[in-house]
Amino acid sequence: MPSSVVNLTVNGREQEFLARPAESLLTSLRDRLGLMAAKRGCAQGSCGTCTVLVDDKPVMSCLVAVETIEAAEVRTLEGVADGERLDEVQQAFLDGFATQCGFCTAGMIMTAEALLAENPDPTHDEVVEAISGNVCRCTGYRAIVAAILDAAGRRK
Amino acid sequence: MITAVRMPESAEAAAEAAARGGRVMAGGTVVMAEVNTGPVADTELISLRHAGLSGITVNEGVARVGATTTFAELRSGLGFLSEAIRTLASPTIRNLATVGGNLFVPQPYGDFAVCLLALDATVEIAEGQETPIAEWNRRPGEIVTAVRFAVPREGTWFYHKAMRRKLNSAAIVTVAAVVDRDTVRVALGGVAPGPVRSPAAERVLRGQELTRDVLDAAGEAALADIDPRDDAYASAWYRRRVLPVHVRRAFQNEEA
Repeated sequence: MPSSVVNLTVNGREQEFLARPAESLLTSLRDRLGLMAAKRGCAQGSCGTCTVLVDDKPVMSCLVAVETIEAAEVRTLEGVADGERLDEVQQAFLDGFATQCGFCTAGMIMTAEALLAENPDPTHDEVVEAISGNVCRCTGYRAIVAAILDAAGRRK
Repeated sequence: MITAVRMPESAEAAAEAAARGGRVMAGGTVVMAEVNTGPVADTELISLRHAGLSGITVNEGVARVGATTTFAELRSGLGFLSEAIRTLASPTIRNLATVGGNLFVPQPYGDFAVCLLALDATVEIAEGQETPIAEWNRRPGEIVTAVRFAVPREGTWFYHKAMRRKLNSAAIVTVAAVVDRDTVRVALGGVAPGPVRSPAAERVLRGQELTRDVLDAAGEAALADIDPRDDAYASAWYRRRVLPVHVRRAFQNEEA
């Protein structure tokens, strides 16, 4: 079962590592690169907590065979803050108590980052649709949607 | 256990790889979920990501959609399908899931296959031959390269999906239809082992104005063409019970 060498740009840094056949991007991020923000939830694309950006698009990293995205640009929650300074989405989540247990937060924030990059002034319904693949099992959706709208306002 | 992932760079190479065995994977939303959560019978995956099969062209009213076109791409490329695609999984899944892959997912998933049946699409296979979707069965080693269908005239395309949540849930009942002067096609999802046409509903609708009475009659008639099953989303009994209402709503653009 030969592993293969994979190259990715992760949060702006070039990374080279070995991956087993059909290894998921999520496994590579967590187990090879030590980036633990993206969580392993359902492993079948239902929960969204492993959401990261691949070439600027939010995808569930558990569903991506990492060797098939050689040379892609990947962005995870670790690449969002500027050192100790949180970005607007993170700060809005913090200020708006939009994290409860926190397990969905990394996926929620990456989905929100992609939404706001594409649509800087989303409506409430557009936010709801954008995060419809991200499950919050604390059911704290109201605060999460409000935080994303708040972040959009902070960026104006 | 998966011991290799093949990444053919053309449709021909993909067909060759598939002929030797292995599981074909496009977006990965179904296959990777299986790889992650249980034993998979195959030892090789054949990824179509680099096979050059994505892209949308519209020529003289006929759309050709490459098999690995994602639903996110299709939604921005073909406006009339936007509402239907909105009901299909979540935006994050739609960034991976492909048009071709949707032909292979089991009901109650596969809403786009229901759309393709209503559109009377043809399925294009790697060797270049096309088969009407209603007659098509995938043979081992075949690679779907594209689907092709006439874009319906404005106001002649109808779609409605009943689900347990407003977004991102599998079908209780999916209705897709093209009703034009001399064309009546009604396709149903969620109510049989695969997407089905409803000739009975089509007979009721043919040549008629889409009044409440006609739509109610079409909905009742459609019951003759279904074979619903129980699953985690709804019981067969419930699907049968609500089908007529949702057939009507498909044409009335009511809220679910």
